[in-house]
Amino acid sequence: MRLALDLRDTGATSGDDALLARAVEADGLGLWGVVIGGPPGVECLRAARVAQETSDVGLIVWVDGTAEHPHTIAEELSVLDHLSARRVTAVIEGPLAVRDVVSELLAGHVVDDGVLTPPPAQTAMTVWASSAVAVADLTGDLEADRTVIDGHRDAGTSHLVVSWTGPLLPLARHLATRAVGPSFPQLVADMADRLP
Amino acid sequence: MQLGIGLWCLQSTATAPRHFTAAYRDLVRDAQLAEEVGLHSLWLSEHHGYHDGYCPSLLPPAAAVLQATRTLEVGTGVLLLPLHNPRRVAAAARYLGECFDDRFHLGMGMGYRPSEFAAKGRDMSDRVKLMNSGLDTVVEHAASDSRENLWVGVTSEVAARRAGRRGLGLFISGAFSRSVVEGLVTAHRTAWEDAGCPGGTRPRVGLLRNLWIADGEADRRRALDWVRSSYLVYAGLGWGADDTGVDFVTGIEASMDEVESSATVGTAEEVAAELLDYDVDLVVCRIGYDQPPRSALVEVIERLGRELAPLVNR
Repeated sequence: MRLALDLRDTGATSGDDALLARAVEADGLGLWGVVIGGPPGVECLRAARVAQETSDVGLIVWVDGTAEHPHTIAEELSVLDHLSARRVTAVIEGPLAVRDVVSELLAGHVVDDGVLTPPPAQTAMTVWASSAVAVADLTGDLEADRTVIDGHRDAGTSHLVVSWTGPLLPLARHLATRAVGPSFPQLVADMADRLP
Repeated sequence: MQLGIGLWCLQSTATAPRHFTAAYRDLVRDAQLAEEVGLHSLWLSEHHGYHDGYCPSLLPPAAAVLQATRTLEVGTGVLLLPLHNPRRVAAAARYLGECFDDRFHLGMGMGYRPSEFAAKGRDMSDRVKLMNSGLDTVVEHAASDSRENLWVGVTSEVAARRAGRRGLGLFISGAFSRSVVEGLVTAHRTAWEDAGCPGGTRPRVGLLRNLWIADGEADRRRALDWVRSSYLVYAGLGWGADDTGVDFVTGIEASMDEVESSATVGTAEEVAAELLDYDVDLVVCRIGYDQPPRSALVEVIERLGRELAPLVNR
Protein backbone atom coordinates (compact mmCIF):
# COMPACT_ATOMS: atom_id res chain seq x y z
CA MET A 1 0.00 0.00 0.00
CA ARG A 2 1.19 3.51 -0.78
CA LEU A 3 0.39 6.69 1.10
CA ALA A 4 -0.53 10.07 -0.36
CA LEU A 5 -0.53 13.17 1.80
CA ASP A 6 -3.81 15.08 1.63
CA LEU A 7 -3.06 18.74 0.87
CA ARG A 8 -6.47 19.70 -0.46
CA ASP A 9 -7.13 22.03 2.44
CA THR A 10 -3.58 23.33 2.78
CA GLY A 11 -2.49 26.80 1.83
CA ALA A 12 -5.73 28.45 0.87
CA THR A 13 -4.21 31.73 2.04
CA SER A 14 -0.85 33.45 1.51
CA GLY A 15 -0.63 32.54 -2.15
CA ASP A 16 -0.45 28.83 -1.46
CA ASP A 17 2.96 29.12 0.19
CA ALA A 18 2.00 26.51 2.79
CA LEU A 19 0.88 24.07 0.10
CA LEU A 20 4.13 24.44 -1.77
CA ALA A 21 6.27 24.09 1.35
CA ARG A 22 4.42 20.96 2.41
CA ALA A 23 4.73 19.40 -1.05
CA VAL A 24 8.45 20.14 -1.18
CA GLU A 25 8.88 18.50 2.23
CA ALA A 26 6.95 15.42 1.05
CA ASP A 27 9.06 15.27 -2.11
CA GLY A 28 12.27 15.35 -0.10
CA LEU A 29 11.11 12.57 2.22
CA GLY A 30 10.06 10.29 -0.61
CA LEU A 31 6.35 10.13 0.01
CA TRP A 32 4.54 8.49 -2.90
CA GLY A 33 2.13 11.33 -3.55
CA VAL A 34 0.45 14.53 -2.50
CA VAL A 35 -3.25 15.17 -3.08
CA ILE A 36 -4.08 18.56 -4.53
CA GLY A 37 -7.53 20.08 -4.97
CA GLY A 38 -9.08 23.50 -4.96
CA PRO A 39 -12.02 25.46 -6.29
CA PRO A 40 -13.23 24.37 -9.76
CA GLY A 41 -10.70 25.49 -12.33
CA VAL A 42 -7.88 25.97 -9.86
CA GLU A 43 -7.01 22.33 -9.12
CA CYS A 44 -4.60 21.82 -12.03
CA LEU A 45 -3.05 25.27 -11.56
CA ARG A 46 -2.08 24.47 -7.99
CA ALA A 47 -0.74 21.12 -9.19
CA ALA A 48 1.30 22.81 -11.93
CA ARG A 49 2.91 25.04 -9.31
CA VAL A 50 3.71 22.03 -7.12
CA ALA A 51 5.14 20.22 -10.15
CA GLN A 52 7.47 23.12 -10.77
CA GLU A 53 8.80 23.00 -7.20
CA THR A 54 9.19 19.22 -6.87
CA SER A 55 10.83 16.46 -8.85
CA ASP A 56 9.55 13.02 -7.84
CA VAL A 57 6.43 13.09 -5.69
CA GLY A 58 3.24 11.93 -7.39
CA LEU A 59 0.55 14.52 -8.03
CA ILE A 60 -2.90 13.19 -7.22
CA VAL A 61 -5.17 15.89 -8.60
CA TRP A 62 -8.69 15.95 -7.20
CA VAL A 63 -10.88 17.60 -9.84
CA ASP A 64 -14.52 18.68 -9.79
CA GLY A 65 -15.99 16.76 -12.72
CA THR A 66 -19.22 18.72 -12.81
CA ALA A 67 -17.88 22.20 -13.58
CA GLU A 68 -16.46 21.62 -17.06
CA HIS A 69 -16.77 19.43 -20.14
CA PRO A 70 -14.97 16.07 -19.63
CA HIS A 71 -12.85 16.70 -22.72
CA THR A 72 -11.56 19.94 -21.19
CA ILE A 73 -10.76 18.20 -17.92
CA ALA A 74 -8.84 15.50 -19.81
CA GLU A 75 -6.91 18.19 -21.71
CA GLU A 76 -5.87 19.92 -18.48
CA LEU A 77 -4.71 16.66 -16.93
CA SER A 78 -2.77 15.66 -20.02
CA VAL A 79 -0.95 18.98 -20.23
CA LEU A 80 -0.21 18.74 -16.52
CA ASP A 81 1.25 15.27 -17.08
CA HIS A 82 3.78 16.78 -19.50
CA LEU A 83 4.55 19.68 -17.19
CA SER A 84 5.26 17.24 -14.37
CA ALA A 85 7.00 14.55 -16.46
CA ARG A 86 4.53 11.70 -15.93
CA ARG A 87 3.56 12.25 -12.30
CA VAL A 88 -0.21 12.78 -12.49
CA THR A 89 -2.98 10.58 -11.10
CA ALA A 90 -6.50 11.99 -11.38
CA VAL A 91 -9.43 11.77 -9.01
CA ILE A 92 -12.77 12.86 -10.46
CA GLU A 93 -15.44 14.14 -8.10
CA GLY A 94 -18.86 13.76 -9.69
CA PRO A 95 -20.80 11.31 -11.84
CA LEU A 96 -19.04 8.08 -12.73
CA ALA A 97 -19.86 8.72 -16.39
CA VAL A 98 -17.57 11.77 -16.32
CA ARG A 99 -14.76 9.73 -14.82
CA ASP A 100 -15.25 7.12 -17.52
CA VAL A 101 -15.03 9.67 -20.35
CA VAL A 102 -11.96 11.35 -18.89
CA SER A 103 -10.31 7.98 -18.39
CA GLU A 104 -11.10 6.82 -21.93
CA LEU A 105 -9.68 10.00 -23.46
CA LEU A 106 -6.52 9.80 -21.37
CA ALA A 107 -6.09 6.18 -22.44
CA GLY A 108 -6.02 7.29 -26.07
CA HIS A 109 -9.48 6.17 -27.12
CA VAL A 110 -11.84 8.14 -29.36
CA VAL A 111 -14.89 9.42 -27.50
CA ASP A 112 -17.80 11.03 -29.39
CA ASP A 113 -15.52 11.39 -32.43
CA GLY A 114 -13.06 13.39 -30.32
CA VAL A 115 -9.47 12.43 -29.58
CA LEU A 116 -7.25 13.92 -26.88
CA THR A 117 -4.16 15.78 -28.08
CA PRO A 118 -1.57 15.90 -26.81
CA PRO A 119 -1.95 12.49 -25.22
CA PRO A 120 -0.54 12.24 -21.69
CA ALA A 121 3.12 11.40 -21.22
CA GLN A 122 2.19 8.24 -19.33
CA THR A 123 1.02 5.15 -21.20
CA ALA A 124 -2.39 5.72 -19.68
CA MET A 125 -3.15 7.94 -16.72
CA THR A 126 -4.82 6.38 -13.69
CA VAL A 127 -8.21 8.04 -13.12
CA TRP A 128 -10.11 7.22 -9.96
CA ALA A 129 -13.65 8.07 -9.00
CA SER A 130 -13.59 10.01 -5.74
CA SER A 131 -15.94 7.46 -4.19
CA ALA A 132 -13.32 4.76 -4.72
CA VAL A 133 -10.50 6.54 -2.91
CA ALA A 134 -9.66 5.36 0.61
CA VAL A 135 -9.08 8.24 3.03
CA ALA A 136 -7.88 8.17 6.64
CA ASP A 137 -7.37 10.91 9.23
CA LEU A 138 -4.16 10.21 11.09
CA THR A 139 -3.69 11.74 14.51
CA GLY A 140 0.06 11.91 15.07
CA ASP A 141 -0.28 9.29 17.81
CA LEU A 142 1.97 6.76 16.10
CA GLU A 143 0.66 3.77 17.99
CA ALA A 144 -2.92 4.52 17.04
CA ASP A 145 -1.94 5.46 13.50
CA ARG A 146 -0.11 2.14 13.03
CA THR A 147 -3.37 0.37 13.72
CA VAL A 148 -5.12 2.43 11.03
CA ILE A 149 -2.36 1.78 8.51
CA ASP A 150 -2.20 -1.93 9.26
CA GLY A 151 -5.96 -2.21 8.96
CA HIS A 152 -6.08 -0.66 5.50
CA ARG A 153 -3.00 -2.53 4.29
CA ASP A 154 -4.25 -5.91 5.47
CA ALA A 155 -7.69 -5.26 3.98
CA GLY A 156 -6.07 -4.88 0.56
CA THR A 157 -6.16 -1.10 0.10
CA SER A 158 -3.61 -0.24 -2.58
CA HIS A 159 -3.39 3.54 -2.06
CA LEU A 160 -4.43 5.50 1.00
CA VAL A 161 -4.93 9.27 1.23
CA VAL A 162 -3.92 10.45 4.70
CA SER A 163 -4.22 13.73 6.52
CA TRP A 164 -1.28 14.70 8.74
CA THR A 165 -0.30 17.79 10.69
CA GLY A 166 3.17 18.60 11.97
CA PRO A 167 6.53 17.58 10.51
CA LEU A 168 6.39 14.85 7.89
CA LEU A 169 9.40 12.82 8.97
CA PRO A 170 7.44 10.61 11.41
CA LEU A 171 4.88 9.91 8.70
CA ALA A 172 7.59 8.99 6.21
CA ARG A 173 9.69 6.98 8.65
CA HIS A 174 7.07 5.10 10.63
CA LEU A 175 3.93 4.89 8.51
CA ALA A 176 4.73 5.18 4.79
CA THR A 177 7.36 2.47 5.22
CA ARG A 178 5.04 0.33 7.33
CA ALA A 179 2.31 0.62 4.73
CA VAL A 180 4.36 -1.18 2.08
CA GLY A 181 4.01 -4.68 3.56
CA PRO A 182 3.36 -6.65 6.77
CA SER A 183 7.00 -7.39 7.60
CA PHE A 184 8.10 -3.86 8.53
CA PRO A 185 10.86 -3.95 11.21
CA GLN A 186 9.47 -1.31 13.58
CA LEU A 187 12.65 -1.50 15.66
CA VAL A 188 14.64 0.16 12.86
CA ALA A 189 12.29 3.13 12.72
CA ASP A 190 12.32 3.48 16.49
CA MET A 191 16.13 3.37 16.60
CA ALA A 192 16.41 5.80 13.70
CA ASP A 193 14.55 8.33 15.83
CA ARG A 194 17.39 8.15 18.34
CA LEU A 195 20.20 8.64 15.85
CA PRO A 196 21.85 12.07 15.87
CA MET B 1 5.86 50.42 -25.39
CA GLN B 2 6.29 47.04 -23.70
CA LEU B 3 7.78 44.06 -25.51
CA GLY B 4 6.61 40.47 -25.14
CA ILE B 5 7.15 37.24 -27.03
CA GLY B 6 4.72 34.64 -28.40
CA LEU B 7 3.07 32.51 -29.33
CA TRP B 8 4.08 29.36 -27.50
CA CYS B 9 1.80 26.65 -28.96
CA LEU B 10 3.74 23.62 -27.65
CA GLN B 11 3.26 21.56 -30.79
CA SER B 12 5.15 18.66 -32.27
CA THR B 13 4.77 19.35 -35.97
CA ALA B 14 5.53 17.40 -39.11
CA THR B 15 8.23 19.94 -39.94
CA ALA B 16 9.88 19.77 -36.50
CA PRO B 17 8.84 16.69 -34.50
CA ARG B 18 9.69 16.59 -30.78
CA HIS B 19 8.43 15.01 -27.56
CA PHE B 20 5.56 16.98 -26.05
CA THR B 21 7.21 16.83 -22.64
CA ALA B 22 10.26 18.55 -24.15
CA ALA B 23 8.01 21.31 -25.49
CA TYR B 24 6.68 22.05 -22.00
CA ARG B 25 10.17 21.85 -20.49
CA ASP B 26 11.49 24.30 -23.11
CA LEU B 27 8.59 26.64 -22.42
CA VAL B 28 9.78 27.14 -18.84
CA ARG B 29 13.40 27.61 -19.95
CA ASP B 30 12.38 30.11 -22.63
CA ALA B 31 10.35 32.06 -20.10
CA GLN B 32 13.27 32.20 -17.67
CA LEU B 33 15.52 33.46 -20.44
CA ALA B 34 12.96 36.08 -21.46
CA GLU B 35 12.85 37.28 -17.87
CA GLU B 36 16.63 37.36 -17.62
CA VAL B 37 16.96 39.60 -20.68
CA GLY B 38 14.25 41.99 -19.50
CA LEU B 39 11.30 41.17 -21.72
CA HIS B 40 7.84 42.10 -20.45
CA SER B 41 5.81 38.97 -21.15
CA LEU B 42 5.35 35.58 -22.79
CA TRP B 43 2.08 34.60 -24.47
CA LEU B 44 0.53 31.16 -25.06
CA SER B 45 -1.93 30.04 -27.71
CA GLU B 46 -4.75 27.48 -27.69
CA HIS B 47 -6.39 25.02 -30.09
CA HIS B 48 -8.07 21.70 -29.56
CA GLY B 49 -7.88 18.23 -31.02
CA TYR B 50 -5.14 18.75 -33.56
CA HIS B 51 -2.71 16.08 -34.65
CA ASP B 52 0.29 18.17 -33.56
CA GLY B 53 -0.84 18.53 -29.96
CA TYR B 54 -1.37 22.29 -30.22
CA CYS B 55 -1.78 23.28 -26.59
CA PRO B 56 -5.44 22.86 -25.59
CA SER B 57 -5.10 24.03 -21.99
CA LEU B 58 -3.23 27.26 -21.35
CA LEU B 59 -3.76 27.86 -17.66
CA PRO B 60 -1.65 25.01 -16.19
CA PRO B 61 1.41 25.99 -18.28
CA ALA B 62 0.80 29.64 -17.38
CA ALA B 63 0.84 28.65 -13.70
CA ALA B 64 4.07 26.69 -14.17
CA VAL B 65 5.79 29.60 -15.92
CA LEU B 66 4.64 32.09 -13.29
CA GLN B 67 5.94 29.77 -10.58
CA ALA B 68 9.30 29.51 -12.35
CA THR B 69 9.77 33.28 -12.78
CA ARG B 70 9.67 36.37 -10.59
CA THR B 71 8.98 39.37 -12.85
CA LEU B 72 7.94 38.05 -16.26
CA GLU B 73 4.27 38.47 -17.08
CA VAL B 74 2.39 35.63 -18.76
CA GLY B 75 -0.63 35.86 -21.02
CA THR B 76 -3.04 33.76 -23.02
CA GLY B 77 -3.06 34.92 -26.60
CA VAL B 78 -5.80 33.76 -26.68
CA LEU B 79 -7.95 31.41 -24.63
CA LEU B 80 -11.03 30.41 -26.66
CA LEU B 81 -13.68 31.48 -24.18
CA PRO B 82 -16.83 29.96 -25.76
CA LEU B 83 -15.21 26.53 -25.39
CA HIS B 84 -14.85 26.90 -21.61
CA ASN B 85 -17.01 27.46 -18.54
CA PRO B 86 -16.43 31.20 -17.99
CA ARG B 87 -16.98 30.99 -14.22
CA ARG B 88 -14.23 28.41 -14.01
CA VAL B 89 -11.93 30.51 -16.21
CA ALA B 90 -12.63 33.55 -14.03
CA ALA B 91 -11.77 31.61 -10.87
CA ALA B 92 -8.49 30.51 -12.43
CA ALA B 93 -7.61 34.03 -13.56
CA ARG B 94 -8.38 35.43 -10.13
CA TYR B 95 -6.22 32.76 -8.49
CA LEU B 96 -3.23 33.47 -10.75
CA GLY B 97 -3.63 37.21 -10.37
CA GLU B 98 -3.71 36.99 -6.59
CA CYS B 99 -0.84 34.52 -6.26
CA PHE B 100 1.48 36.28 -8.69
CA ASP B 101 0.94 40.00 -8.11
CA ASP B 102 -1.10 40.54 -11.27
CA ARG B 103 1.54 39.05 -13.56
CA PHE B 104 -1.12 37.00 -15.34
CA HIS B 105 -3.01 38.34 -18.37
CA LEU B 106 -6.17 36.66 -19.60
CA GLY B 107 -6.56 37.16 -23.34
CA MET B 108 -9.82 35.76 -24.70
CA GLY B 109 -10.94 34.96 -28.24
CA MET B 110 -14.01 33.50 -29.86
CA GLY B 111 -12.71 30.49 -31.82
CA TYR B 112 -13.63 29.65 -35.36
CA ARG B 113 -13.02 25.94 -35.99
CA PRO B 114 -16.13 23.76 -36.09
CA SER B 115 -14.36 20.64 -34.83
CA GLU B 116 -13.39 22.40 -31.61
CA PHE B 117 -16.96 23.38 -30.83
CA ALA B 118 -18.18 19.87 -31.69
CA ALA B 119 -15.65 18.26 -29.34
CA LYS B 120 -16.96 20.40 -26.48
CA GLY B 121 -20.60 19.71 -27.27
CA ARG B 122 -21.24 23.29 -28.36
CA ASP B 123 -22.85 24.72 -31.46
CA MET B 124 -20.53 27.09 -33.30
CA SER B 125 -23.48 29.22 -34.35
CA ASP B 126 -23.81 30.18 -30.67
CA ARG B 127 -20.26 31.49 -30.44
CA VAL B 128 -21.06 35.22 -30.46
CA LYS B 129 -23.66 34.76 -27.75
CA LEU B 130 -21.29 32.57 -25.73
CA MET B 131 -18.46 35.09 -26.16
CA ASN B 132 -20.52 38.07 -25.04
CA SER B 133 -22.02 36.33 -22.02
CA GLY B 134 -18.65 34.79 -21.20
CA LEU B 135 -16.88 38.15 -21.23
CA ASP B 136 -19.50 39.60 -18.92
CA THR B 137 -19.06 36.67 -16.53
CA VAL B 138 -15.29 36.98 -16.55
CA VAL B 139 -15.40 40.74 -15.97
CA GLU B 140 -17.74 40.20 -13.03
CA HIS B 141 -15.80 37.36 -11.39
CA ALA B 142 -12.16 37.48 -12.48
CA ALA B 143 -10.86 40.86 -11.51
CA SER B 144 -11.25 42.27 -8.04
CA ASP B 145 -10.95 45.94 -8.88
CA SER B 146 -9.23 46.17 -12.24
CA ARG B 147 -9.81 45.06 -15.81
CA GLU B 148 -6.26 45.91 -16.75
CA ASN B 149 -5.14 42.34 -17.35
CA LEU B 150 -8.17 41.24 -19.36
CA TRP B 151 -7.82 41.32 -23.14
CA VAL B 152 -9.94 40.40 -26.14
CA GLY B 153 -8.27 38.95 -29.22
CA VAL B 154 -9.66 40.54 -32.36
CA THR B 155 -9.53 40.35 -36.11
CA SER B 156 -12.47 42.70 -36.85
CA GLU B 157 -13.80 46.09 -35.81
CA VAL B 158 -16.94 44.44 -34.41
CA ALA B 159 -14.75 42.49 -32.02
CA ALA B 160 -12.68 45.59 -31.22
CA ARG B 161 -15.87 47.41 -30.21
CA ARG B 162 -16.87 44.39 -28.08
CA ALA B 163 -13.66 44.82 -26.11
CA GLY B 164 -13.82 48.62 -25.96
CA ARG B 165 -17.32 48.94 -24.59
CA ARG B 166 -16.40 46.59 -21.72
CA GLY B 167 -13.19 48.43 -20.93
CA LEU B 168 -11.05 45.44 -21.91
CA GLY B 169 -7.68 45.47 -23.63
CA LEU B 170 -7.36 44.87 -27.34
CA PHE B 171 -5.10 42.02 -28.52
CA ILE B 172 -4.69 42.40 -32.27
CA SER B 173 -3.89 39.30 -34.29
CA GLY B 174 -0.75 39.21 -36.43
CA ALA B 175 -0.31 39.75 -40.16
CA PHE B 176 -2.47 42.87 -40.47
CA SER B 177 -1.47 45.96 -42.46
CA ARG B 178 -0.92 49.23 -40.64
CA SER B 179 -4.22 50.67 -41.87
CA VAL B 180 -6.18 47.68 -40.57
CA VAL B 181 -4.44 47.97 -37.19
CA GLU B 182 -5.24 51.67 -37.00
CA GLY B 183 -8.90 50.96 -37.82
CA LEU B 184 -9.13 48.39 -35.03
CA VAL B 185 -7.51 50.73 -32.50
CA THR B 186 -9.86 53.57 -33.42
CA ALA B 187 -12.93 51.33 -33.19
CA HIS B 188 -11.78 50.09 -29.78
CA ARG B 189 -11.15 53.53 -28.32
CA THR B 190 -14.33 55.05 -29.72
CA ALA B 191 -16.43 52.21 -28.30
CA TRP B 192 -14.77 52.66 -24.89
CA GLU B 193 -15.49 56.38 -24.84
CA ASP B 194 -19.06 55.93 -26.13
CA ALA B 195 -19.70 53.41 -23.32
CA GLY B 196 -18.71 55.97 -20.68
CA CYS B 197 -15.14 54.84 -20.18
CA PRO B 198 -15.82 51.61 -18.20
CA GLY B 199 -13.04 50.75 -15.77
CA GLY B 200 -11.90 54.37 -15.67
CA THR B 201 -8.53 53.82 -17.33
CA ARG B 202 -8.23 53.61 -21.09
CA PRO B 203 -7.70 49.92 -21.87
CA ARG B 204 -4.42 48.92 -23.40
CA VAL B 205 -3.76 47.82 -26.96
CA GLY B 206 -1.49 44.88 -27.75
CA LEU B 207 -0.26 43.99 -31.20
CA LEU B 208 0.93 40.54 -32.22
CA ARG B 209 3.57 40.86 -34.93
CA ASN B 210 5.50 38.30 -36.98
CA LEU B 211 8.96 39.58 -36.19
CA TRP B 212 12.65 38.63 -36.18
CA ILE B 213 15.95 40.41 -35.64
CA ALA B 214 18.27 39.85 -38.62
CA ASP B 215 21.41 41.71 -39.63
CA GLY B 216 22.28 40.74 -43.20
CA GLU B 217 20.30 39.75 -46.25
CA ALA B 218 20.92 36.03 -45.74
CA ASP B 219 19.67 36.20 -42.15
CA ARG B 220 16.70 38.21 -43.27
CA ARG B 221 15.76 35.67 -45.98
CA ARG B 222 16.12 32.81 -43.52
CA ALA B 223 13.82 34.54 -41.02
CA LEU B 224 11.21 35.26 -43.67
CA ASP B 225 11.23 31.61 -44.67
CA TRP B 226 10.51 30.71 -41.04
CA VAL B 227 7.59 33.13 -41.04
CA ARG B 228 6.28 31.57 -44.26
CA SER B 229 6.64 28.10 -42.79
CA SER B 230 4.52 29.12 -39.81
CA TYR B 231 1.63 29.70 -42.15
CA LEU B 232 2.13 26.24 -43.64
CA VAL B 233 1.79 24.73 -40.17
CA TYR B 234 -1.29 26.84 -39.53
CA ALA B 235 -2.88 25.86 -42.83
CA GLY B 236 -2.14 22.24 -42.02
CA LEU B 237 -4.55 22.47 -39.13
CA GLY B 238 -7.21 23.45 -41.62
CA TRP B 239 -6.32 20.63 -43.99
CA GLY B 240 -6.26 18.14 -41.19
CA ALA B 241 -9.44 18.61 -39.28
CA ASP B 242 -11.91 21.21 -40.38
CA ASP B 243 -14.23 22.35 -43.03
CA THR B 244 -13.74 26.03 -42.37
CA GLY B 245 -14.75 27.12 -45.85
CA VAL B 246 -11.24 28.37 -46.52
CA ASP B 247 -9.46 26.96 -49.55
CA PHE B 248 -6.05 26.57 -47.94
CA VAL B 249 -4.60 24.54 -50.84
CA THR B 250 -5.26 26.97 -53.66
CA GLY B 251 -4.43 30.02 -51.61
CA ILE B 252 -1.33 28.76 -49.84
CA GLU B 253 1.33 30.66 -51.81
CA ALA B 254 -0.67 33.89 -51.85
CA SER B 255 -1.33 33.60 -48.12
CA MET B 256 2.32 32.93 -47.38
CA ASP B 257 3.28 35.96 -49.49
CA GLU B 258 0.81 38.06 -47.50
CA VAL B 259 2.20 36.85 -44.16
CA GLU B 260 5.73 37.55 -45.37
CA SER B 261 4.90 41.06 -46.56
CA SER B 262 3.41 42.00 -43.19
CA ALA B 263 6.33 40.60 -41.18
CA THR B 264 8.75 42.90 -39.42
CA VAL B 265 12.27 41.61 -40.02
CA GLY B 266 15.48 43.64 -39.79
CA THR B 267 18.09 45.02 -37.45
CA ALA B 268 16.98 46.06 -33.98
CA GLU B 269 17.05 49.69 -35.08
CA GLU B 270 14.95 49.00 -38.19
CA VAL B 271 12.41 46.96 -36.24
CA ALA B 272 12.19 49.58 -33.50
CA ALA B 273 11.56 52.34 -36.02
CA GLU B 274 8.66 50.38 -37.51
CA LEU B 275 7.12 49.41 -34.17
CA LEU B 276 7.26 52.92 -32.76
CA ASP B 277 5.00 54.05 -35.59
CA TYR B 278 2.16 52.02 -34.08
CA ASP B 279 -0.01 53.62 -31.40
CA VAL B 280 -0.03 50.55 -29.16
CA ASP B 281 1.06 49.78 -25.58
CA LEU B 282 2.41 46.27 -26.08
CA VAL B 283 3.96 44.42 -28.99
CA VAL B 284 4.07 40.64 -28.77
CA CYS B 285 6.87 39.51 -31.06
CA ARG B 286 5.71 36.35 -32.74
CA ILE B 287 8.81 34.18 -32.78
CA GLY B 288 7.35 30.84 -31.71
CA TYR B 289 7.79 29.18 -35.09
CA ASP B 290 8.63 25.51 -35.35
CA GLN B 291 11.34 25.79 -38.01
CA PRO B 292 14.15 27.74 -36.31
CA PRO B 293 16.65 25.59 -34.38
CA ARG B 294 16.67 26.19 -30.62
CA SER B 295 19.94 28.08 -30.90
CA ALA B 296 18.26 30.61 -33.21
CA LEU B 297 15.26 30.96 -30.90
CA VAL B 298 17.48 31.51 -27.88
CA GLU B 299 19.51 34.08 -29.80
CA VAL B 300 16.49 36.06 -30.91
CA ILE B 301 15.00 36.10 -27.39
CA GLU B 302 18.31 37.50 -26.11
CA ARG B 303 18.45 40.12 -28.86
CA LEU B 304 14.84 41.17 -28.39
CA GLY B 305 15.47 41.77 -24.71
CA ARG B 306 18.92 43.29 -24.87
CA GLU B 307 18.76 45.22 -28.17
CA LEU B 308 15.15 45.89 -29.16
CA ALA B 309 13.41 46.39 -25.81
CA PRO B 310 15.60 49.35 -24.76
CA LEU B 311 14.86 51.02 -28.10
CA VAL B 312 11.06 50.80 -27.78
CA ASN B 313 10.58 51.20 -24.01
CA ARG B 314 9.47 54.77 -23.52
